[in-house]
Amino acid sequence: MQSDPEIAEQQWLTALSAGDESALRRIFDRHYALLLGDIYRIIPDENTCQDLAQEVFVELWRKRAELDIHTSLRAYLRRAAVNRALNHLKASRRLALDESVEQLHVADESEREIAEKADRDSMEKALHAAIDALPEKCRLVFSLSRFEHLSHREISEKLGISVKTIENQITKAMKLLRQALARHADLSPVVILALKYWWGM
Amino acid sequence: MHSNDNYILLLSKKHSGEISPDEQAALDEWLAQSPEHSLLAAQMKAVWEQAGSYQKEFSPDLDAAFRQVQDRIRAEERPPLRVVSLGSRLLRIAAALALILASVWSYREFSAPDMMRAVAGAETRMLSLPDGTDIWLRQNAEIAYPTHFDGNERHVSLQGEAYFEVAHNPARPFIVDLPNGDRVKVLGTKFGIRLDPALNQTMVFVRSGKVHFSPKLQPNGVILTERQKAVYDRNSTQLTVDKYASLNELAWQTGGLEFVRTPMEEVVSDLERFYKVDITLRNTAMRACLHTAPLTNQPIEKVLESLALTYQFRVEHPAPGQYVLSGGDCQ
Repeated sequence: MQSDPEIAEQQWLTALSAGDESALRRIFDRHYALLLGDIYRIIPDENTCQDLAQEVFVELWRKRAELDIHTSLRAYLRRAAVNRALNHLKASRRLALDESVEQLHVADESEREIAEKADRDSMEKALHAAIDALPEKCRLVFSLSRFEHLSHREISEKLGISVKTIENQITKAMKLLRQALARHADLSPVVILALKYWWGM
Repeated sequence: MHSNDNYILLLSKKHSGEISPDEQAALDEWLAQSPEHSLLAAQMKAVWEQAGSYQKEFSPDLDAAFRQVQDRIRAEERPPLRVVSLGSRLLRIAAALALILASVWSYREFSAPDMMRAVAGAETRMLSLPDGTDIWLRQNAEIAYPTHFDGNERHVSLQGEAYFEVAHNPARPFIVDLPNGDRVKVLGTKFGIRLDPALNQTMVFVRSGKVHFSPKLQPNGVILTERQKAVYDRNSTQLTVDKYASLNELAWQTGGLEFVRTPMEEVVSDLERFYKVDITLRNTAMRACLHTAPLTNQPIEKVLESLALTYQFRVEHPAPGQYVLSGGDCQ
């Protein structure tokens, strides 16, 4: 059976389609902050996140009479937010059609930067800080692969960038993140051995 | 210089689930080459997995943010002012046009539309009405509809079972007249109707939108929304509503089954109905396990095989058309 929150959301959507603005408010209260987080993974700028997330609700209201949601409301709104973020990037031409194969060597400077940003409390925090510290396009491509589960080909199509460039960016992101993690764990031979067993490799 | 780059990419592809068999073989070979490669792979796995929890937490001022949303909605709903200036020449054309439209209208209004009839034979048949509504008729179903829709309502009449995707038009409700004076009224939505003469029942199932089902003897009827099903029993004049009916009520039209967080118990009964087989779910603890799978019409053996893989069921096939699922783990 469906859980209670889902039943409530069904009722909100029914009320919304009938033009009830208080239903929009309830949906907004539950989903707005989550959408900010979703968009932030793609565009790390809080003002833009607010702007785009609010537009998602304006659109939900505009389409209230013909809404046809087959997934959970959360999945529907998230997809709408991600699409909006990608369209925004396209429209603002922030994604130069850079087809050149980028130098994959990681500069010392960015390593240091990541290490400084890294929180010492936990590896996970360090890794999350390292994601934020990735170069812009690198972070975007990694986010779309890791969080939005898009294939390299889909990312290439959505961003209008060659698959080769996408793959280079993914490789670069993985290398930078690994360095951040390694630096954080301060991998001594003993730790390396432990890691090997811990991660079952 | 960076000889491992290619393998780092392959490791990423492995984690994102888009590695090809050839690439996997190359990766396995590389991993076997040295313990350092295995270590690198372990680190990549850790990166991929720990990155999964990355989500910046926001705690915005909801009141203020919602006011901004409202402002945007108000700005959109206020129609922009337009200054229209019409030359006398343009006015004359407009008047002539109005006269033509009026005569077309009166012709349409006062001449009764011809009725068309469509019957499905041994197979499902799809037809489109002049207003853009699509209808799928199941075997032996029959529908009557006008060549063009007049007046304030769109009327069709149905016998048998059909699925409707009604073109949205709030000004002209779409009404399905059923035998015995029962009716289903909608604005624009997707729904199915099944008339079962053997049981003397009528079933209405809504896939999306809103539907008003009113049997003649229950004039107030019932309003159904997405995934709701109403069954009207003409013998007892009982009208019952199932608020969370199976998505697969319309499997005959979609051609397959789909599941979205569906309890295993219901998955099994949908499979039984669609494939006309008998399935026993031995492990009662699995009944509530929620299953999600996209639309498929694979043979029943394949469907059970993939269920078995996902939930570690043991599948037995003691007799034709009979299956037993035992064990299982709903992690």
